[in-house]
Amino acid sequence: MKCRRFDRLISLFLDGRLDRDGEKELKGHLSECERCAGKLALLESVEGSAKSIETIEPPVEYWDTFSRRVAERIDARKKESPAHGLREAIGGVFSRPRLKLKIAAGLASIALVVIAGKMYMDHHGRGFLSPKKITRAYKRARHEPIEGEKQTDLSAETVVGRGKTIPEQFKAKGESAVMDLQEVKESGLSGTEGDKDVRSKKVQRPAQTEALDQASAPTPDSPDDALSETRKQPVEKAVSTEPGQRHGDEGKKLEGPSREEKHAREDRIHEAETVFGRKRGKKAEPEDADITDGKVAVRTVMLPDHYMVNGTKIPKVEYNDTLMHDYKLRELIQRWKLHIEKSPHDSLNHEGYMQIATAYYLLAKLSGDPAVISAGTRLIENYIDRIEDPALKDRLRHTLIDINSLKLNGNP
Amino acid sequence: MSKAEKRAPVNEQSDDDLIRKVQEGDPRSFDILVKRYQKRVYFLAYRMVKSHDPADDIAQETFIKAYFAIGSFKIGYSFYTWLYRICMNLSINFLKRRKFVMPECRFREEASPLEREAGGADPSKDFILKEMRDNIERAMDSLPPKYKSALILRVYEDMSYEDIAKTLKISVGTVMSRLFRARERMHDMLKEYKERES
Repeated sequence: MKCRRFDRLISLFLDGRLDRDGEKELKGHLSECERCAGKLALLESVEGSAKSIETIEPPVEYWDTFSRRVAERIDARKKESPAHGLREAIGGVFSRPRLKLKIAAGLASIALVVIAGKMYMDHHGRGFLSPKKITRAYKRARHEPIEGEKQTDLSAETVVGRGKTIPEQFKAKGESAVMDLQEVKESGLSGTEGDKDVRSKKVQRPAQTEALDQASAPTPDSPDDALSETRKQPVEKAVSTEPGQRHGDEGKKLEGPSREEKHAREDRIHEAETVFGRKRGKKAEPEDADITDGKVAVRTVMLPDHYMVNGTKIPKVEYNDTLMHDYKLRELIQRWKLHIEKSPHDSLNHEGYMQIATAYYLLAKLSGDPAVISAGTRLIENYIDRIEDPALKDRLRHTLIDINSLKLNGNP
Repeated sequence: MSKAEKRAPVNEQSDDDLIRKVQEGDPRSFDILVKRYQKRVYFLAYRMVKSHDPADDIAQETFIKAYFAIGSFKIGYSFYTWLYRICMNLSINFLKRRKFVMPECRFREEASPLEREAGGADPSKDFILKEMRDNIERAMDSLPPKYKSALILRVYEDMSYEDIAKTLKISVGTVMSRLFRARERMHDMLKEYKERES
């Protein structure tokens, strides 16, 4: 191991890189170590011999023609590839310091001009990617006010008042009517009375209701035109599926909407508007089914395949539904029951009653459980006593009969 | 170029002056540079590859590459170090492609000092010397290219560690390490030959 260190010193000694102390140390070791002394001697003779042995001299003619052969190969290389020549030419250009400087100066000035131009354009907002343009586009997308620009009124009333159609999700089958929120307020629907009074106030607007019934689809040019046009739109049945479509009742049709149904439809439209208005960035009205101080509750919305009740989505169940699981039906019943108890005056409650009845019917059909049948029967009878709408009463009675028939038949 | 420079004999012009002329488009100056360094480049290549034809090809290629790259050469740096680097790289690439190198002794005009010492009259001594020479060559040829290049530049070109470092583009410490390892291997191989002979 000790000799390993001296091996390195031997290599340095051969190259004359050892200082005096190192040389002294090495010589001291060599006097004692035969192995290291022999190693140094061998390497010295090898390197000395190598210098003298390796003398190989080509003939004189070889040296005389060497540079010419190199020149010939260079010319041949240039002819072989144009790229080579081009590279050489470019390299030649860049090898001249003065020309290099001129080119660099020219490029720098071009770059300066481009940068200055860009800064000028950006400052004056004319650049196609100027910060001002980007900011404006962003604000427009978010419907935020832009300084120096005429503001577009995006309020729900104006939009709706222009006769813009309600988005599809709020439209039931065939519905195209639009009502102005202001009109609703003026009509007296903004009172603090209970449900009955509200309904009586609705009765007091027959002219407007008829106008709604008789209207056709508007193509407004101005907000006022839109308002008059939308009044003319027909108010068709909003409910896409009718629990009344049951066995034996296929031929039975209601000959035109009843007064209560019209009022209910108007309420729904109004609520849809309000929700729409809320989607447009307006604040939601206070959640109270009672119509108080001109503010209408936003609690339920009827959509084609479900209801939005207290922010919860409840699927719409149909009489001939075969896919709904029993736990889903129970959940549906609970949610509607809770809503009806908390908001007895919600205009969409009549939908809720029918949904509960239909769900009980389906549940009874699925389970055949007498407990379910009797619970459903009790609840529906309770609703029948409570409700004033004769048509709704009638439909609930029919559902009750169907449920009881399941009990009698022992239908699983 | 100054008048003094113009009047100066060709062989007295510095490398920098000649390179500057070449960069300005004067091919005759490059010819002068070729003649100035052709032997050193050739012998360097020969010591690496141990064969005339590849050494000739490598030497010519070294100057061709230098010609086409001379535009990027910075005046003030060592031209021969730059040439050696090109030559070494070409030689190492050649050795990597060709694993076995057969040493040639085609052009021998003068006897080595060892041979002269021996007097050349004793055939047995001649044989021994030849054997030793062959062993040394064999040992050198068996070195890995990176060790061989460092040893050749040190032993034959008498380059300093710093010049070797510049030529091979390595650090001085690496130069020391490579020389040490080259000598260790040479010693081990020659010791083996010596023991076999004895």
